[in-house]
Amino acid sequence: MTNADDNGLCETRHGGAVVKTSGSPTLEVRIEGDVDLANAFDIEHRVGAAYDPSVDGVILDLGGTTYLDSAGLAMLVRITSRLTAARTPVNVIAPADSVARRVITLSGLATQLAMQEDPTPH
Amino acid sequence: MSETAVASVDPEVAGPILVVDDREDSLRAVCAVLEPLGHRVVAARSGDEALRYLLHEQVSVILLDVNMPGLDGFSTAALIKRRPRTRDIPIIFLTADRDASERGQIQLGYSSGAVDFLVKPFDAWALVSKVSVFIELHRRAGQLKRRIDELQASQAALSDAQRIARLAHFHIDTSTGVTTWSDSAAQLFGQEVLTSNGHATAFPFWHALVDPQPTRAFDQLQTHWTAADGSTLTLVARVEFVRDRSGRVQSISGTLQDITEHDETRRALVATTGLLQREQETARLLQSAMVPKVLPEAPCLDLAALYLPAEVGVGGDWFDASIQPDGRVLLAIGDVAGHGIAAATTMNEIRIATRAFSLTESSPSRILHKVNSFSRSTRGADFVTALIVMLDPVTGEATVASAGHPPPLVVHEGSAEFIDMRVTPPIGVSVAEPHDENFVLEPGGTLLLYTDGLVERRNSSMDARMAQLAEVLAAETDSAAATAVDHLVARMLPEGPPSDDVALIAVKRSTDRTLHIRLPAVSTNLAPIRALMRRWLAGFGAPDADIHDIVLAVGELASNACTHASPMATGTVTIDAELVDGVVRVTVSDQGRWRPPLDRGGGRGLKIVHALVDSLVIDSGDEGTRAHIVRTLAPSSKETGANDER
Repeated sequence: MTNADDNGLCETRHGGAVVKTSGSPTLEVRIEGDVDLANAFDIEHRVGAAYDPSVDGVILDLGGTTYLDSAGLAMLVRITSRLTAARTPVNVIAPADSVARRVITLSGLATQLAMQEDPTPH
Repeated sequence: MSETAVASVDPEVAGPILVVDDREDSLRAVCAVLEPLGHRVVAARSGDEALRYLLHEQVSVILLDVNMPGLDGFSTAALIKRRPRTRDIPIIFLTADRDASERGQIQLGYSSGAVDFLVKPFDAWALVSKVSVFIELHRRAGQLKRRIDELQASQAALSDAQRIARLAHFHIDTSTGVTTWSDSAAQLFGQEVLTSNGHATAFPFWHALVDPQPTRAFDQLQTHWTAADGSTLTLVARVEFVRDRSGRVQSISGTLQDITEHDETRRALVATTGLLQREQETARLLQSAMVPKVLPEAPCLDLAALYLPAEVGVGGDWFDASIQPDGRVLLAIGDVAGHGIAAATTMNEIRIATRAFSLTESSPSRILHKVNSFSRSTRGADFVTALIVMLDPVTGEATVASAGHPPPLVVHEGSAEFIDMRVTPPIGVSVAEPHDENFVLEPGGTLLLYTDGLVERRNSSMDARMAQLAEVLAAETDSAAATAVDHLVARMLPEGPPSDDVALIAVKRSTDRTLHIRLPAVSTNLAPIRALMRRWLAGFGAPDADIHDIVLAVGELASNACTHASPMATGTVTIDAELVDGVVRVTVSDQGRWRPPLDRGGGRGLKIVHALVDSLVIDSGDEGTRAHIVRTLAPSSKETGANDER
């Protein structure tokens, strides 16, 4: 994420959440703030718009997500399954003490979402 | 187009509603909500498609999505406004993004011709009521325009008639009795009638003319006269009396004009005054549409409001109550100088701007500042007083700012006090920035916002009236908000309708420490529900981990209510919570029936809730669904009980 600003960082607001996307060859999407029924679809559209089939992978970073409910989880499932179908590797980052991690664990989706705690060096 | 247009449109029947949105789900939802109105709804999937349709068809209102690929909503609106035949069609913008209504977008929206903004997902009631008002306004504007066209046409005909033939000259020599007429007279009144040569029988003004008042040199007379063919004409004679030195009339010369048609036009104009009265009616309609009929039930607050039109018509007073994403309740009240449609329209625009800026600005003074800048840069010549309060219903903490508006009144345990505020000029007048003042509404306290119509009155000073207002409200300490409002009006305005219109809002804070929230079941209300839940639990000193889990559980249940219970957002979601001996009990209810848990999303949500609480019980019946959860807080917090103001 260090060179994100030089690499066309794009920031959009969707209700209570801010989505920051950057980069190639890997598309990095950072979702900050609250994700719920009110903005999950908009965020999904945003990620879809930022996705270019030529990227070598997608990172969904939920470290800054302050609220995530089942509508947000459903969005993550839809995004990851579509990317997987397109043979694009996807990593969902949710640090151990994060809000997102707790919800993902409670719902039993950790395996399905190809979870990694925090693989990228900061 | 989802529907083909009919070839001929009866001008008395309002045209269809045009909905323009690229998203199929959104289109279907809007059409379903509007169906009960009984108007034809035409769907277009892009700005281009809408413009093509409008080339040949007239519509009464356009609902236009802001974010569309290709030609976006604002550009489409600008093109619609550029064509004379579609220029006057009201446009309501639909936007999925609460932040779309921030400053730049509002200006863009209004400059491209918006009459209103609706943020998706919207309340079905709000959509239907707005659309039906604009259809009605469009229909009336059409009627008025046709009537004016007719009148203009008949006036044009009249002036032609006057120019060509409706005027005759005459000259009477009183010594001989010989009357000489211009050639046009015979065409106007008939040969046989006017060749009387001094005989009084035929000439309508004969008696008056030959026996004039002694001193007058000129006279004008009007009479009805039945012509030989039986038709009645209205005639006006303008005459000059030529006298000799002794004052005897020697001759009379003048003109005789047939003003029958002119007279009819005048009567028609009088009838049109009826239309002007209807303009008042229209303004009243506009006003009543703008003032929310059903205020959102404010969490933990008892809220009542009233708008009283003035005796002589509608003014520009308004009030608004809405919930902010952070759970605070925004109360706004204002007064636009002037009366009639102009004031009501200004009021609407300022009201919408206030609501829109409240989504991005977190303090009343910042909202007023933005509204002032908006008014000064895009409108000009506004003179609007406004007052905004943001009230935390859980803690009672409030912030208020005023632009030239009289101060709010707070009553607690029998004593009433006006909030001491610095006064800044009304909106539209200067660049001065309003100031925020903080105060606390104690449990059981009542806050009153009002417009000056309540305290201004001939023959008594405003100070005396305000003192009276404080005295009257102080006596209402134990009344419900609605009762307090009724009593205030009865005592302050005992003689019926005021000379200026009046708006007032009373808000009474609950004394008990339970949490009660009832809001429209739309997903944008999930954020305020969570924020209120969080602050309510924090007030009891609940540990963060407990707060997080309970907020997530309640958020899931409320989200279920929004998704399943009322997909068209016509229902409400209710949250009742209590904390007794370290145990939190919450009931989330709605008017719908949830689908089976295996349905997508819902099942996952309930699984999460189960994992977060001690118990979850769901009652689902014809009346709706009620979910009860119980969660015991971590022991350390059990005996903490300070939910009062910090």
